[in-house]
Amino acid sequence: MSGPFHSLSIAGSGMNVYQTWVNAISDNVANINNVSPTTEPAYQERFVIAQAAGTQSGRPDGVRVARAEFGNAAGRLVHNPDHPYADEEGFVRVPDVDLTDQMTNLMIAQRAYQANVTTFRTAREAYQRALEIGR
Amino acid sequence: MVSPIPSVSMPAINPAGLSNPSVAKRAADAAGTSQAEKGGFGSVVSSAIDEVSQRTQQAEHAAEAAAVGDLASVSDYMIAATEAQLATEITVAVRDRAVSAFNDIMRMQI
Repeated sequence: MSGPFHSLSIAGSGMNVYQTWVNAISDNVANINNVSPTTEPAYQERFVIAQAAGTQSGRPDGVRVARAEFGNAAGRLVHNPDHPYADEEGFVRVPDVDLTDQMTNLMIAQRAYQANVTTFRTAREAYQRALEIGR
Repeated sequence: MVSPIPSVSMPAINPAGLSNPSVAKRAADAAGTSQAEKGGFGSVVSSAIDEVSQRTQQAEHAAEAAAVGDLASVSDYMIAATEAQLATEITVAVRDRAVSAFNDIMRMQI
C-alpha cells in the first residue's frame, strides 16, 4: 500500500505489532502459575516474532507479526506433594516463565507503542503544516 | 516564473490551480487520473473527492466495527479517521486555492 499518508499506516503497523506483543505478555503473566502433571507439557511462553513488511518490495511498508514462537514445554519441576497433580515423587510441572522478564518486556512494548504514536502525531502535524503554507 | 493560469476559461486552469506545472502534474498523478490534462481541474477535484469519500467510508466501517465490538485494534480506527480528515482538509485547501485564482482573474482590469 502506498499514498500520501503512508507514514500514518507505517506507524499504525508498529502499533499493531506492539499491541500483539502486549497481548502475548499478558497471556504469559496470566498463565504464570499454571500447574500441570509431570506427564503433560507445561504452559509454553509466547514469543511474538516481528518482521519488516517491505522486505520483498524494498519499500518502507512498516512492520508485521511474522509468527508466534513458543517456549520450553518442559517447564520446571517443583516439589509439591500436596498438590492433586503431584506424581509418586511429589513433583508437578510449572511454566518456565520469568515474571521479571515479562514486566521488562511489558515496559519495552508500552514505550515502543508510545514511540509509534509519536511518529504518527508528528506525521499528521507535518501534513497539516504543509497545508498552512498556502494560507 | 510560469504564468499561474494559462487562459481564462475554467477547464484550462492548470490542475492544482497553483503556479508550478510540475506540482500540478504531480497533484493530478496523486489524484489517480491520467485525464487531468484533458478534463482539467474539475476531474481532478472529482477524483480527489472520490478518494475522500473512500477514506471516509473506511473510517465509518471502523466506527461501526467499534460499536458492535468487532474492532481488532483501536489504532486502525484512529488511522482511518485521521486519513479521512487529512484527505478532506487537502481537498478543501486545493479547491480554495483554485477558487481564489479564479476570483483573481474575474477581478482583472480589462
